[in-house]
Amino acid sequence: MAINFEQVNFSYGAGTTLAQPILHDINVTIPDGQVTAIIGQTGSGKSTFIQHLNGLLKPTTGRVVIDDFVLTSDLKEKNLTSLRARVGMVFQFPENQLFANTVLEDVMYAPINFGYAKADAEFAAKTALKQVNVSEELWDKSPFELSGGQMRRVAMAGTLASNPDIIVLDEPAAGLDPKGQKELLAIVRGLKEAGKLVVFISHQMDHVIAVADHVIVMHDGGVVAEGTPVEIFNKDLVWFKTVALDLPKAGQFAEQLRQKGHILRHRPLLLTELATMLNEEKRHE
Amino acid sequence: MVKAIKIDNLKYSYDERSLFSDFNLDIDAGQWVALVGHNGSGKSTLAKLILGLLVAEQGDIDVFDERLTVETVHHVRSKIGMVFQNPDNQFVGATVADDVAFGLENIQVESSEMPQKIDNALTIVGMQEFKNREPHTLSGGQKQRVALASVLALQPKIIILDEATAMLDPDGRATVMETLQKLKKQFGKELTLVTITHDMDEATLADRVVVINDGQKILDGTPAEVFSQRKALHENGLELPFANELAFHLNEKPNKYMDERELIQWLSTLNK
Amino acid sequence: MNNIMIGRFVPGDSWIHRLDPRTKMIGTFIFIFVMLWSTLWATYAWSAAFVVLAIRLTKQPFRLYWDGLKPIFWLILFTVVLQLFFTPGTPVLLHAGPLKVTIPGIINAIYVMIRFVLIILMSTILTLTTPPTSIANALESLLKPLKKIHVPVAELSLMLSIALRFVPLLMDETQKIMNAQKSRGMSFSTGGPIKRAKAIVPLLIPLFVGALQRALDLANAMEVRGFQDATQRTKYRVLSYGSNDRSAFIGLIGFTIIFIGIKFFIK
Repeated sequence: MAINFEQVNFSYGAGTTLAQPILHDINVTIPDGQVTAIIGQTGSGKSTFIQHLNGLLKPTTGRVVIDDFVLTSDLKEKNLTSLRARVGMVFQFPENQLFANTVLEDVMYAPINFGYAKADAEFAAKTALKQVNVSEELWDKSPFELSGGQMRRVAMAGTLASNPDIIVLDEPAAGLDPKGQKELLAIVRGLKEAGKLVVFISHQMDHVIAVADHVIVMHDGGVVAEGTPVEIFNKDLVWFKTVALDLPKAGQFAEQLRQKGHILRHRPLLLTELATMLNEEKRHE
Repeated sequence: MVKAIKIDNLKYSYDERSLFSDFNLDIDAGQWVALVGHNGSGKSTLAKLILGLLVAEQGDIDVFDERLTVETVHHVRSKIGMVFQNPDNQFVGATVADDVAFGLENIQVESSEMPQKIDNALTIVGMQEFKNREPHTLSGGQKQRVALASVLALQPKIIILDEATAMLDPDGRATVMETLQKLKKQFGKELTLVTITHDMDEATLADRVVVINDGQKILDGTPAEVFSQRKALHENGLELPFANELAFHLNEKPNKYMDERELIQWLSTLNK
Repeated sequence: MNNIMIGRFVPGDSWIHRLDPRTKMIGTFIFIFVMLWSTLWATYAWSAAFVVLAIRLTKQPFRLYWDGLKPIFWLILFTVVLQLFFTPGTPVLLHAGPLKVTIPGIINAIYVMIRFVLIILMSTILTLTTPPTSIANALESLLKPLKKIHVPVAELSLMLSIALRFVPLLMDETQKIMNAQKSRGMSFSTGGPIKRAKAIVPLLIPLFVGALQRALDLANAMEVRGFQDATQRTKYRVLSYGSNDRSAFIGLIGFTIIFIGIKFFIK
């Protein structure tokens, strides 16, 4: 159940005088059961790309095949509901979407829209809330009484409640403190363990190396590279400069060491890797 | 030593829960203090109390020897500039120049003097080329630099940044931190800087780090002193800066505290 | 992307762009006022010529002005149809119950259409060449005399400029919230009218909450930057009339005099 982009081009206002081309000739497969990170500088087209995953945007030319669902430019809005029941999307700062009288009601919104009976929707909502560690005592409160971190988790539960097979997250860690970021990464790992296909956009390379199995690099509206995080982060620095991306912190540190004449065996991508390599050097002296 | 900010016996409750009780903090003039804590630790509330946006139940706040009261609040505010977390929710003007002008208009600067002051402030933060741009065309980091310029134009003695980089991407964060360092260098002891953050790599830049949790001071000292308390930091939901966490994992550690630059230097000389 | 501004402003360097916004506002009002006294084809033609001249002076393609007419198309059509079928008089061309097509009716319909079009075109000249904040500044300046009767002009004007600054942001946010709720299965296109009306709640509540939070944050930021009394503030953007404005006013007076002349001489 993978996702395939087949020769996808996308322009805003296609066919009018104000047409703005955004995506060019995208041909890419997002593998099933894995966590895929979409990285690229601001303006590279990442947000436009992921909006094709649940039909918020449709390709101007080409098609996006999500499992057995084919998304083309002429698909009508009413046919997209079945897609959205299977592809859950968590936007940046998702706490901005909360609206209901209680937390539970808000999380039930998606399942009810997708046709769940009320009792089933309630059960699904409670399951999702537990999945993101929102404790039961908060379920009857107004979502607006919660802290920022709690609100975000309620919003995520709101997407998970309809039990989608595919989950897309746009900068899920934006604005979170270190503890919150750790919890977020744990949730992403949990989704993968549950067999979901996870796609996320991130600017934090340390998160990418921590949870991603697969990386897609975008630049200027096109896909310029694909591979495992190790493959991508071992490309040469010139390439990183052209796509305006950074290495994970350990890699940046190692680069600065290299510039001072201290060259390591290979490029470390995690702090623990870097420490191990430095310690091993000492032993060989 | 003149105290820029002096907080004595502060008591403040939020939603019937006590947040600060008998909280004390002194900040010397010219210091750069990083106030760190996880989200919900009370650090932003403290900033709002200092500026009189919230009122404490008990306790005294003095800014450069002036007691904060209902009567003095406007005068006290004139000595402090504050940059808030959300880049959009503090951008008042229709363009960059108009936003910097807003504060000048409030304090009734002559119209003829405004263009020069606006230019000076924008030059310090490197945004003078964006003078006529509208906010929705700017990135988060650019908006925060404009916020800094708006504050600088009023020539405050203290600048407080309340999680000013929390909503920015790594690039935006880097440019704001660079601008702050440049500022502190340029104004030296004339400027007292308070950065409120949960990002430890930012806290490294300060002269002094104060760790807060649940309205209480947990640690208070130089970066060297505070970052040697790895366990205490973890217990309070925080982490070490990258360089210090790395040093912790090394078998052969440096014999003193080092920031990133120093650690790189130390490691590179070791290998030669 | 999201270029639906209320009367879209297009930056430019024409003579009209450089006029003081107050001149343009006063000019628009005077033109509309005078033009509404038009009853002869000659005065309509004269008014139209004036508008065409003004449009040429803005140095913008007519296509942009045509775009300004499109939204009002149905309103114009509706009014024209009313005139066409319900104007009494002779000679009568068609007759069906209360509906009557008469020659005076046809003439009135054409005149009504011309009036509408000219008013829209003139207003479009104003909004096309004047940024929204200049319009707000101009309003504040022109409404100053109302301070004497305790109208809070300074506060209203500040509110207006801040509100205007947030229009692009609010439009973006509306789109984002709609995307989020659509992703959760919200649909405006299914269900009966009640269901569709209820569907707007998940859109409005977040927008309201967001707007309130924004207002609170802004208020804090404004206070911290020394804002106290809206009436005790100096201004960065000072409006001042120039020689171009003088010429513009002379042009307006000339237009009015000739208009009156035509009315009296072709009678």
